[in-house]
Formats: sequence, C-alpha cells, structure tokens
Amino acid sequence: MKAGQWSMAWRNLARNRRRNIATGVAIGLGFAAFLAIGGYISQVENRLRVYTIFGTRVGHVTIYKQDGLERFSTKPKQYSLDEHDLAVIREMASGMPNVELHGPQLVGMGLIGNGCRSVPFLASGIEPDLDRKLRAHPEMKAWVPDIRDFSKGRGLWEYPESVGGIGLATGLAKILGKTKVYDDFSADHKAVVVADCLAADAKQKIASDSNVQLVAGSWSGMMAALDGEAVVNFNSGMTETNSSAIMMPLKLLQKLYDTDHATYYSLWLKDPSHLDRELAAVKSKLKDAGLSVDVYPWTDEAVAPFYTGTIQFLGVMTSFIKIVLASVIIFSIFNSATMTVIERSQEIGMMRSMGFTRRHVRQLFVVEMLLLTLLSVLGGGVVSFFGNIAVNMLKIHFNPPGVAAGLLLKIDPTLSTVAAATVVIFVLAVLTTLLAVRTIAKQNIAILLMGSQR
Amino acid sequence: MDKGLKTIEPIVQLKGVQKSYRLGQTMVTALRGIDLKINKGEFTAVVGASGSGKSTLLNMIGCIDQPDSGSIQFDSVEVTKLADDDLSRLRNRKIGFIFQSFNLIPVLSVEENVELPLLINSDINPAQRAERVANAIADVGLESLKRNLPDQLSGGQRQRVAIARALAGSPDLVLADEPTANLDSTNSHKIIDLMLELNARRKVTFLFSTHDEALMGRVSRLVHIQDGVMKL
Repeated sequence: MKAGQWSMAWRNLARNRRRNIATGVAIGLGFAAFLAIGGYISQVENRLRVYTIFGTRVGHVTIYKQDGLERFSTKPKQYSLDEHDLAVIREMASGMPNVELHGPQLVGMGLIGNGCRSVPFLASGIEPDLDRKLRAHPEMKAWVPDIRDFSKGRGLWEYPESVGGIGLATGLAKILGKTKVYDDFSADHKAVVVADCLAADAKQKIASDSNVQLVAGSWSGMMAALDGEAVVNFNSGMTETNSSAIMMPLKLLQKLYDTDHATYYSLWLKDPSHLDRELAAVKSKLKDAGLSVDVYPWTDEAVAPFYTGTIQFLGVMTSFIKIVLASVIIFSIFNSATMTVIERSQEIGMMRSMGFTRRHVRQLFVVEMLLLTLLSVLGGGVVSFFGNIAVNMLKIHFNPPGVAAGLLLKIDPTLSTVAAATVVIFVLAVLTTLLAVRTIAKQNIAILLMGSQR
Repeated sequence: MDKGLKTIEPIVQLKGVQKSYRLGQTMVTALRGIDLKINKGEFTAVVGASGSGKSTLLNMIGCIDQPDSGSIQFDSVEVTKLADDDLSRLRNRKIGFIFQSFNLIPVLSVEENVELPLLINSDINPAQRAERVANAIADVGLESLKRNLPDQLSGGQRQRVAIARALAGSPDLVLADEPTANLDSTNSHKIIDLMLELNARRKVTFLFSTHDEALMGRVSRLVHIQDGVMKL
C-alpha cells in the first residue's frame, strides 16, 4: 500500500495545519540549532586539532626518551633523545611511506633580556626548514591562519645561522620593547648599547635595534648566554605563553644549552586516519632498533592537554544543549502525534476493522511524521544555511579563556554534521511517533470505533 | 447425504458467547450465552432496544472484539483462537463493515475511500483493484461523484460510499451497525433497498442492527436480542 500510504499521509498533514506547522517549526528550528552547534564544534575541533598537531608542533606521533615527558624538565640530559636516538628515529621516519614530515625539537627555559630588562622565556627549537614546511601545510592555512602567519617579519629559514634569528611571541616582544624586527633595520645597523636604563630615552634606544640576549643554565651545569636577533613576531595561540614564548633554530637553542640532544621527535602523517596502526608500527620499529623511548599519539592527554581538556569540556557542554534540543523536539512531536491519534481514534478503529494491522496503523502515522520531518528539515536547512552565512559575514570575534588574540566565530557545518543531525532528527521523529501511537494501535477496535462516544 | 436436499451452510456460528465490559466502576454483561447461526446469503436484522447488546454481538461476529467465553466460528474457522494479524486478514478478505456514522476518511475522494481496504490486500493487483473499485461505485450509483470528497456528499451518498467500500473487497459477510440511524426515512429506505438488491445480486450475506421498526418488515430474518439474550 506504499503509494496510497504516502499520498494519504500527505493529505492527512493538511487536516490539522496549524498544529503541524507548529510541530514542523519546532523540528526545523531544532534541526537548524543542531547544525549550528555541530558547525561550531566542528570549527573549534578542527582549529584545536590543527593548532595542536601543527601549531604547537606536537605532530601526529611524538617520541620521547623513556619517561622523558615527565622527567625531562628536571634531568634534561638523561631524559632527552641523544644523537644516536635521533639518527635512528630519523632513519626510521624517512623509511615510512605515510610520514609526511618529521624532525626533532628542543624545549627549554631561561631569561631573555633587552639590555635593561630580563624576563623568563619558554623556547622551542626547531629546524627552520621543518618550520617552513609546517607553515606551508594546507591544514594550517585552512584552520589556523592566525597562528601560521607571522605578525611581523620573516621565518627563521630566511636567515643564515650567523644572524642568530629568534622569533618572539607578540606579547613578549611588547614586554621587551622590541617592537621592530631585524628586517626593519638596515643591514649595517649595529646593536645599541643602553647605558642608562632609567634615562628618558631608554625605551627608544631599546626599540632601535632587534638584539636580545638569552641566558640559561646549560646542561653541563654552567651558565650560558648568547645574543640573538628578533627576526619575527608570532602568535603563540595561548595567552599564557604569548608573553614568554620564543622560537629559534634547533642548533641555536642546542648551543645555548650546550647539547646536541632533543626533547622529542615528531612525525606528521600524510593520512592520520589509522593513527593506532602507525603508532604500533613506530613502537615496533624503535623497539627492534633497541631504543628506550615512549611514543605518544597526539590525542594523548599527556602531550595535548589543552586539546583533550577543551574537547571534553565542549563535549559535555554541547551534550547538555543537544539533550535540551532533543527534548523540545521529542515533546513537540509526542504532543502533536498524541493529539492526532486521539482525534483520529475512530478512524483508526475503522481502518482496523477493515483489516489494517497494528503495524499498518503505526506505519501510517510514522509516514505522516516522516513527511512532516522531511519538510521541517528542508526548512530548517534553509534557515541554517542563510543563518550561518549571516553569522559568518558579521565576523564576530570572541575571547575564550586562554586563547591569545581571540577567535573568529564561524559556523560551518560539515557534510557529516548535516548527515548526523538529519539522522538524529528522523530517528527521534520515528521513535517518538511510535511511542505516541503504540497504545492506540493496541487498543480494542470496538472501543476505538466508539471514538468520543466513550 | 440426500443429493436432493440443498445444504445451507452457516457463514457464522456462535455458541454460548458471553461478553462483559467495564463501564466506569461497574461491570456490564452485554451478551449472556448467545447461540446464533447466520447462513450464507441471508439478509438478517438484529433488533433490540438501545443497550440490548446488538452492537456487541456485531462486534463479536465481525472479529473486532473477543468474547469472554464461548465459541465463534467464521466459515468453519474458530476465530477466538486467531492471532491479531490473522483476524485482521480475515476481516480484510471476508468481512465488510458499514458504520452508523459512515467513517469515511475526509481527505480521500470517494474512489480512494472505496479503494482503502483493497490497498492492504496483497492478493489483488492494481488493475484488479481499479476494476473492483469501479464496480463497487457503480453498484451504489456514485460514478459521477467518484472524485468528490466526503464533505461534498449528502448523508445518503456518504452511506452509499461506505457500502461500496464494504463491498469492494468482495466479502462473504457485510455487517452494518445501525446503517440508517443517521439518515432520514427516505434515505433509510433507499439504503435498505440498495442492500437488499446487492444481497440478491451479489449473494452477499448481510447482517445489520437496527431499532427502526419500519425496516424490520423488509428483511428475510429477524434476530431479537434483549438484555444480552436472544429472544425467539
């Protein structure tokens, strides 16, 4: 009875137009809200994912010396990857077809000064060419252009080693008064010595070159210092690091700490969809090579606490909103379906007496609700489409806690979000209608035929 | 068996059928041990006062309600033991219903209402279905109104549609619960005339309830019921 069933369902929808429009609006707006939430979460998730993997250079896979993640900060020499480790890992990574980029990184702390003022720094040492490749990666272009692009200056790879190029986070550059970068000065420009830091023109003098001084305790137990030139300013992405982060060529940072070791080695995969498999392969190869290392996926809370924490928080928050939305939709459908079946109980009795089974009756109401849901989803989809365009055009900036320079509110539901929301809405519609019709379908036919008489 | 005698086969046979139902706080006994046999081709009226059990009896025979005790055989099949889906199938294939308030679906046209019970009959293909619908509408003389919606018809015309719908499935038995109660006397007689004509022409068994004394003289058999008990 399929053709007749759809035709009858379509015409039945017109029987109580006002109620069905109200239910349809609830479903449609619910669908649009699901898309908006999904579109927002999808944007945030993608941004955080790319920021973690490419922005903080964790990579898809991170290799530490065994226990290095916990103990490197107290015993860096013992819990870092030595030259041999690095050579073995590099050879392994070069031989893995799914590894797109790879390289070692060194992190460390110390003091950075402008001749008058010294503040703590958190340094990240990376091979300049790897930094260039990471910044050129399409994922960074797509999801974190504000992290990828420099606020001022050019990348570390543009300068010879002799320059001692260093990147300063925008907040740190401001604190140090180094508001101009190396390229802002002529080639023959010399570093300015500020004799009197309390003098009225001290700030101008500090700002008249790009020279900074780094001081740190070397791994051999000595105090070490070196001069560098602030060649670039960048956004670290996080408020808490934007006033202390510096990046510099790996070799320069190794020179500061008097080491040839690295804190960790990262691998960026071409296709990260089988991360577990790649992780197992890396572990197996390094174990076979006799290396004592710990291998982490980027999703591990230990290496990506910001990503995992934020996603968990967002997950809980949006789940709550989704439950509220689903409840509104469920109650709207249940209310509408219940009123409809009560009104049409005599008609149901007539149909049952003519041989319609309980399944037929359930089917009839489900088909009606499917049609209403389809119309509502189409309407909600249109509302969502234009609503999202409007929101995105407004370019609303907001400042979530901990995110330097704020974020742009962007709602862009992916195809999978649309598909998931559609499936959820249709499943809710079918289940709720079945629930509403269940009792009446089981009702005694003679009683149904009496309709309002009893 | 004597070949010279024509055997009269019962279409429905009730033995000791009892039915009670709850009405508010009290239990009402609607049928008290009914024994009844309806033969094929009969045109029978069940008569009795309001509340005598006429409708309950028709509901039992039409397999839309189950007795508390007793036996109901439809075409020699014990229906009290059938599952709900089997009962639905039996109603769809063998029984036609005509209701006092017509019970037409307002959003469907005359021919769509008539077609409704055939839509769930998988033994009939679309061509047969269209033919049966056309014949049923022709039988009740509504060819010119077949595309009309129920609210564009008079009461008498609506009941004709209900009769066409009941007949479209070529049932063995048509049950009509007070089919003329919502009609004036002229239309009531027209409806009974139509049912009589179809009974004669299609050889369909008709069983209907009424308390209209004017109609009682026009039936071949009268079954009296009072307080849930058959009266001779």
